[in-house]
Amino acid sequence: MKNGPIFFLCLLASLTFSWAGLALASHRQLSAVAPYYDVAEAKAFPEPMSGIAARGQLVYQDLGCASCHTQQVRRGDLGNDLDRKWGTRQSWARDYIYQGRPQLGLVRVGPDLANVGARLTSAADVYKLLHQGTATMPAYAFLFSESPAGAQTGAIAVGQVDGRQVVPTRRAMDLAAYVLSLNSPHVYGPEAAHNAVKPAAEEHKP
Amino acid sequence: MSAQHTDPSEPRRLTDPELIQVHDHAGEEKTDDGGNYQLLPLVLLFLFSGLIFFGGTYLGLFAGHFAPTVHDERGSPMAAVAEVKIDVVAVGKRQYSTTCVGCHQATGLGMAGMFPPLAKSEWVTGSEERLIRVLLHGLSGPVTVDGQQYGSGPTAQAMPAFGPGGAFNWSDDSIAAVLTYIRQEWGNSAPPITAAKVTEVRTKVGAHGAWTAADLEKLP
Amino acid sequence: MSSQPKAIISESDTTSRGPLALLLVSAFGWLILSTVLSLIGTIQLHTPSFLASCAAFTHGRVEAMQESAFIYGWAGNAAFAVSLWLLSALGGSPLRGPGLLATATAFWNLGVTAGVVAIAAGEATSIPFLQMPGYIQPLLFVAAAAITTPGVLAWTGRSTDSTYASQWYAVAAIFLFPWLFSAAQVMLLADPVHGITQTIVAGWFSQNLIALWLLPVALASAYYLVPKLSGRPVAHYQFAKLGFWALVVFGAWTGGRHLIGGPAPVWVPTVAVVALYLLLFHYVIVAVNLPAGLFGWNSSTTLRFVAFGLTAYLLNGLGDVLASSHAINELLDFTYFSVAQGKLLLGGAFSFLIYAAVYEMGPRITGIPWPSAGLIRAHFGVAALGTVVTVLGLAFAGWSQGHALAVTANGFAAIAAAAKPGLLIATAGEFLLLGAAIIAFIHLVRLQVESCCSESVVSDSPAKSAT
Repeated sequence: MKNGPIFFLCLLASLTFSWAGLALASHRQLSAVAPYYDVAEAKAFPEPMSGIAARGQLVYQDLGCASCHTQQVRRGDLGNDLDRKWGTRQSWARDYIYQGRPQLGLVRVGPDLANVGARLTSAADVYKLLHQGTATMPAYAFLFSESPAGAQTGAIAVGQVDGRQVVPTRRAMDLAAYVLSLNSPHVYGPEAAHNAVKPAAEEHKP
Repeated sequence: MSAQHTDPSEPRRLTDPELIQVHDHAGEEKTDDGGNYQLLPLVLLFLFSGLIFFGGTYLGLFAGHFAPTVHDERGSPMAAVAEVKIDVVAVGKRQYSTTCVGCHQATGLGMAGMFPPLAKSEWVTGSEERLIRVLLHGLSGPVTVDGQQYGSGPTAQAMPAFGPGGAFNWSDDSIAAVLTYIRQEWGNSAPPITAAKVTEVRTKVGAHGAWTAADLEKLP
Repeated sequence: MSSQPKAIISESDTTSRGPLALLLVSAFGWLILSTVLSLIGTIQLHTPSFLASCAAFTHGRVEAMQESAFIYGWAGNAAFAVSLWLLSALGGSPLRGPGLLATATAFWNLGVTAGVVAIAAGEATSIPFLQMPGYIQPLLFVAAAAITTPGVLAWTGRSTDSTYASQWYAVAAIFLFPWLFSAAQVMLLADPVHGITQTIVAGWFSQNLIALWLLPVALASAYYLVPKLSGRPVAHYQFAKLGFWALVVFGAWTGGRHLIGGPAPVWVPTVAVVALYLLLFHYVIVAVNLPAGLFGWNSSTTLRFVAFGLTAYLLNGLGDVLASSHAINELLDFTYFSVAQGKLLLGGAFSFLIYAAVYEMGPRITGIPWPSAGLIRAHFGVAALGTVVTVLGLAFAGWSQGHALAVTANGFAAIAAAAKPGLLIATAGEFLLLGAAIIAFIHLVRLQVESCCSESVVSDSPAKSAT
């Protein structure tokens, strides 16, 4: 430990090595994962996010929704994510290739949202949740504004207060578009084959 | 704290230079203590090699061969990807419902005097080559379908070309799919048309303008 | 220790007093703020409507602010102070450029303040441990580089050729941090990679921030204090080197540990699990080296802080390995248990080893003893109790939450009800931690104020007699 330069070189080498092995290698490997073209449907999956949904993702990240909601479905034999109807299959890396800032999350205070677009069908559903909250989710009053009853706002009113109608703000509309866009049920050929596991084919891991 | 100051049992604190000096000496300690191996170095050596062995084995077994598509420890990138089975009728139906439906209608009945029907049409269920040519190059002029006259008079419409060079530029696969679909829908039950057959006709005829019913009726 | 008049106070301690005091006071100020935010966040977990009508205090933003204030405010400032001081004291060379150091410290804190305000205003990046918006990060990087430079110079310009374990850990921390920080800023904010790659890079960054920056400083403090306060050299010191390299080499690969069963290619979490197992070697060596610290409960209060910190450190290492096994991960992944682990590591291990270092360095840089031994004892008691209660509360909440989640018929109202008792316990713990942070802050400020009024040179005793 007396040799200064070699000490620094070894330190830097171990950091660089892990960077090359984790960051660079996964970057190289995953940038090669392209949308999967399904010949039967003559379409590529996943589908790119719409512009309004991409704006909604910014609202999602600035409110920190990911601190209570994950966006990753685990496979059938790891947890009960599939039983809870959060998805029809495990989430794969290919599902996220169009996401500028994937919101995987770490804690499930609320349900997983990876395929929430399949469960909520209209923006009105999302507005109702955001405006009223639930037993475990607060109401996001600041995402709504009031306007005189009958005023043409171009938005769906979520309720009435003292004869004035409560309408979602621009941000709430973007957020709803993002939430509704979250759905990736498509089964990609390579992932389906490479993760097909015969039951009890191998010992359970330690 | 005051008690500790007067307490003679309080250990003497090392100064910073002492700290370095004492440990500098300790660093040169021999692990071989006069011919008798000390236990601790051996234990650590075993622990380290054990962990490395465990780690290596674990990586070999559960890293999914470092493939980007493997998300399950037991998966393998060597597994053959199942070839996607194309349902030709479904593909044809999608083609039909996005393009053909505007004239020939979802019912396949067309519109009287303007667009001939496909349901119960001898043109559809009859000669494969005629049908392929209609789609590849288009059809104009009068035509009789199921006893009714189309393509003449003030409401006359022409069938556009869907093959290469036309406005739609469909592939042979797409043409085969949509033809197979219309030959088996609305009560029609003619055998499917293969993409190979479309290719064969296309290469045989080459580029061609829209056909007339009279041209095609000469074909078998 | 009247036997050692003027003992260990050297010139190198007192010349850098100003900037080090600035780092320490800001660190403890941030600790109070982050504890308040943590308290708000925990209350919101069992009472979601708490402060919910205010956009700046919506739960996601509170968590992001809390994390930034803790990591960059408290841990960052404190890690800088402790590592610089250790390198200067052990290297026998005063810190160079105290003016630059103070300026850089001011800018660092300015940057963190701006970052926390920006998060409150809705600019959070949503990347764990890198929540502050991209336009503030370059300022933080330049400030960090300026702060760490005197430390590296104190190492290269040391008066003796020999080095000690604390120096390796401290210099590794301050040398690697700017590299790690800049790589993350480029790959995650300036020119972000997309999709799951981003998640993997973010994991690499956040794990390395802990394993290669914060923990090495904490260990530098432990390796420094244990032999110094116990008066006995480190046991089996010849292995310390292996322990150090084990942390640096294996700790760098734990980035995928939160992706077990997740949407990343499986080799990423598998590599992380292997790295966590290999780190056991590091923990064993720390335990072999520092039993005097681990079992130092009956000696001075400072050593008691070390004992608590080291115990939390080893428990966390073991907990990481256990939680990475599929059977436990399946149950506890995505629960408050991971929050409890984070509190044990950062609030327990890291913070307590840093407190110990601060109680050692306070008198040495100011030249006067701590005003009150009672306050140090009170700080230890309240902080230790608060940490234990918070960690156990959250672990219990996570355990209940995991079991409730595993029953598909349970709705989220039922799951929240199951987790509530643990969260209430954790809230009580957070109140204690807030009290502890305030005690420490007041004491530190008193020390600084009294040292300005007193020029007396005393021994390096941690507290003056009979307060």
